[in-house]
Amino acid sequence: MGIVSLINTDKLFWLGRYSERVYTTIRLFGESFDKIIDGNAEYIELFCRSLDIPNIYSSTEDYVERYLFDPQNPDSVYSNLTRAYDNAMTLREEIGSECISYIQLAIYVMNRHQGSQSPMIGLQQILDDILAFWGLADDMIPDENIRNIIKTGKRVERLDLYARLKRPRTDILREVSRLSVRISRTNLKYSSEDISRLKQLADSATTDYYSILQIVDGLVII
Amino acid sequence: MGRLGFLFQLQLTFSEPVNHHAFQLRCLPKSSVRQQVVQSSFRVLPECKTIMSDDHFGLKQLGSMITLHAGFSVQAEGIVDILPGMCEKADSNWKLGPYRQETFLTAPGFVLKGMAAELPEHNVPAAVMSLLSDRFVYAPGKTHAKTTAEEAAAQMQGVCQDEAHIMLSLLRMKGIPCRYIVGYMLGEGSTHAWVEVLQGETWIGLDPTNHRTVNDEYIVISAGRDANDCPVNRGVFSGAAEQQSQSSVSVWHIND
Amino acid sequence: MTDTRELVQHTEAINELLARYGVKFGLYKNGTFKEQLFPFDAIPRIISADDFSYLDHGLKQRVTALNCFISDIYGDKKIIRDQVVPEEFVFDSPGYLHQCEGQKPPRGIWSHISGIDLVQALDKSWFILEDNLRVPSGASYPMIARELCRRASPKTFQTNGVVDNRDYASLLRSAMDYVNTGGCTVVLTPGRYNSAYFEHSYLAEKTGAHLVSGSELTVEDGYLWFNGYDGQKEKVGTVYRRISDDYLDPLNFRADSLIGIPHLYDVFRQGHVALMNAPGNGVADDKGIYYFVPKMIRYYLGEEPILNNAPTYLPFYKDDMKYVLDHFDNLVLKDVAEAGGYGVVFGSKMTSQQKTDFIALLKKNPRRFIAQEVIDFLDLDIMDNGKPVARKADLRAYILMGEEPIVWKSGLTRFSRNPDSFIVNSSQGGGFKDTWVLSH
Repeated sequence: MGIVSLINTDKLFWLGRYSERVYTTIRLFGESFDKIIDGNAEYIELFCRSLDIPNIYSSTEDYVERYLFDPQNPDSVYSNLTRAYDNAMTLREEIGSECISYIQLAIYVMNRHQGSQSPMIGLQQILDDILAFWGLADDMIPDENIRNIIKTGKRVERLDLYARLKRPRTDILREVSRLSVRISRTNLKYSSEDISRLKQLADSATTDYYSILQIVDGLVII
Repeated sequence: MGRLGFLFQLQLTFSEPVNHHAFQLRCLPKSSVRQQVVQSSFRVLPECKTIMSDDHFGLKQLGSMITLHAGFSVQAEGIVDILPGMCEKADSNWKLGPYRQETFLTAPGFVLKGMAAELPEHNVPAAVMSLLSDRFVYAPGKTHAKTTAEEAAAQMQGVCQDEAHIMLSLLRMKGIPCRYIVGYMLGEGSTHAWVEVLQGETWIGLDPTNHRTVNDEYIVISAGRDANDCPVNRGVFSGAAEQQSQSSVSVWHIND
Repeated sequence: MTDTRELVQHTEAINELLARYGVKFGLYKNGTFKEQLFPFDAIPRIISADDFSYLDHGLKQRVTALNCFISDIYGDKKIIRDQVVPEEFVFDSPGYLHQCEGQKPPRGIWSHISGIDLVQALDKSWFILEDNLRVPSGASYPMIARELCRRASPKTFQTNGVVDNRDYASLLRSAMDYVNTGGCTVVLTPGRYNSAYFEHSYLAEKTGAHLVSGSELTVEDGYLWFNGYDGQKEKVGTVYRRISDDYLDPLNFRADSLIGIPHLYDVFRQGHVALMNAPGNGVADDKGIYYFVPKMIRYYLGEEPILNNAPTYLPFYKDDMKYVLDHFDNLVLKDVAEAGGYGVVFGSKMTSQQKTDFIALLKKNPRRFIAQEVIDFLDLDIMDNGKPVARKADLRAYILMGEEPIVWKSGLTRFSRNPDSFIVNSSQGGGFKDTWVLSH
């Protein structure tokens, strides 16, 4: 298929990463929020520590409002969704108006649910939109390379998050395997040694999360 | 017939290395009725592929250097025969509108309008030449590349570019088509600027700085409405470096 | 009789769909960039087949003459020799680029996409308001609006005999291909902070072109190349550029342009790439030149103009200046250097001090202004809180020039939401409508 410029390659990759970041962090938020409902406010600290983001939240309400909806907070779901949107809207001719529309819809949902007392209702719609975006991207983008760059971004982000969260070895193994298959179907430049090393690390009895993180974050340089 | 040799050198120095440096140089003459280019050569350092191109203003050399460099030098040389008494034929009068319109650099203000009012109705070019020769003081450093004719006229100081601009402004106010010329002149160590004025059906070269008609000691490089049309060097590069430029010209007689 | 009631009931749904697809325009307010939805009113402007046929002939004639004019100006200048247009209106115009003297664009086309603004007067006669030849925008809005209206109200389109307008992309693609010098097609955008970025990206998608910024293109060996991520490159044959002449090439035009491509103009001049629209064509869409377009039609085509200008006066001419001063309150004055609804003032709306100041300025610089009779617009209905109200509206018609000129069977109808305003530009808060051309 056609040539994809460096700028667009970068944007496709990061569109994949940010859409995944929004998706997975919403799910993680849901898990932690469920515990906070019972008055376990210490889960806020745990949540922040596991994702390696500063705990700037003064109360449960503050956490819900600012972690989810605050455009000024660089770690908020809102900020990450905006980054996905910024990449998506400049890729119209590569991925199509239909795909982009789901990211746009997620932004509208986010804006509508600002200050909501039942955030999970709005967040569910955002998850639906992101799933629809991924499904449509898979189904409608004719260029295999473009599809796989987005997916590689998604896999890199997933592995990054799982390593931070110190997910069990089986999860890590599965994600490494998915990533290595995906990246080989793109024209992205990466070192196959890095992939072998990731496989080794994932395979070993005690998982070295720190080394996995380091490799995965340096894997694709565009 | 006068045969002239010329050598043009330009040295650019950057305060820090730059790359993706695209350049356009107008420093080689083009053959015309008045001048026949016998031979010419051009090179840049560091070496880089260049393309010769031709547009409405003259010849230009184009290139792009994509590797990092802190300096850039250009050397252009050649031999030109100047055909005695020959002048370039101008386009039909109705096509000369662009050379009758004042430009940003030649637009007259209060001072130039006052000067124009003093001019006679006949022999205007000669009158402008004498006026400049009497009143204009050649003073490098008092003006810069973007000084307008009006600003230069207000202080009556400057260099050849300013004199040419003042002359263009005054002639155009009188409805006389005229154009700005950049070239080389025997005895002048840098590029020179003068004016061509429509006389009958030809362009007559007049050099207000030296108060004389252009003769076989001049090589024309480019022609336009004002200095903005004829820059010797235009370039863009990536990086925040400051650029310093130094250029020199030498012209000599070649005896057969 | 056309029936739009069913369609209009879906106004809200259609606007929601427009929002879903990000149909927006950007603008700077107090120094920050904002994206706004472009409000859509579902009551279409309806043009009968007969009316369209008249517009079709008139617009083709006008654009053909404008193309002849540009070609003449950068070539033989016969229209000046024959004293049809005074040279000061040409060579002093900001749209005239001396660099383009002697230029011969591929296949002789200078204005591939022309956006001609018209208004309809109370007596239903059409007047040309202005010609936009540089980078006319807006076609994407009725294109996508139609798509969504059909989705919202299929019945309306089953019964009303509306000519489909979604062929714009293929018409544009044909115009791109017709001038292509051998290579791929790109849409060159100044970037996402441009007011028409949605349109740039949408037209790139629909024509199958790459959407690029200047940094993705380079000139090498006398050709233009589109550079891929891993070192591949593809020769470019057509650039549909949505950046203005001044910014195209920092070595040939404005030196401070950061969005242009060095040497692009040289490649074009060599005939190694097509730029659409061709640089320098702004010489024909100057508000001062507008006055002369009917004369151009007679001069180049030997025909009487089919479409009329709004009655216009050039204060540059003594008789016209006198008329303007005598009838100042009945006229609208336009600064020829401004666009987008700026620099337009109504004589009747000035205070006496403003009038005195303006007249002084006019006398000092008569070339800078044109004056026009205020046309009694035929207002169009828009829905305002569920009730139809009449508002000022204009029509931008799009003419694509390939082997033959083609008038797109639609157009952008813009309206003013403010009942007192004559200005319909989106940057001034207006909305838009679909434009229907009927098959009967």
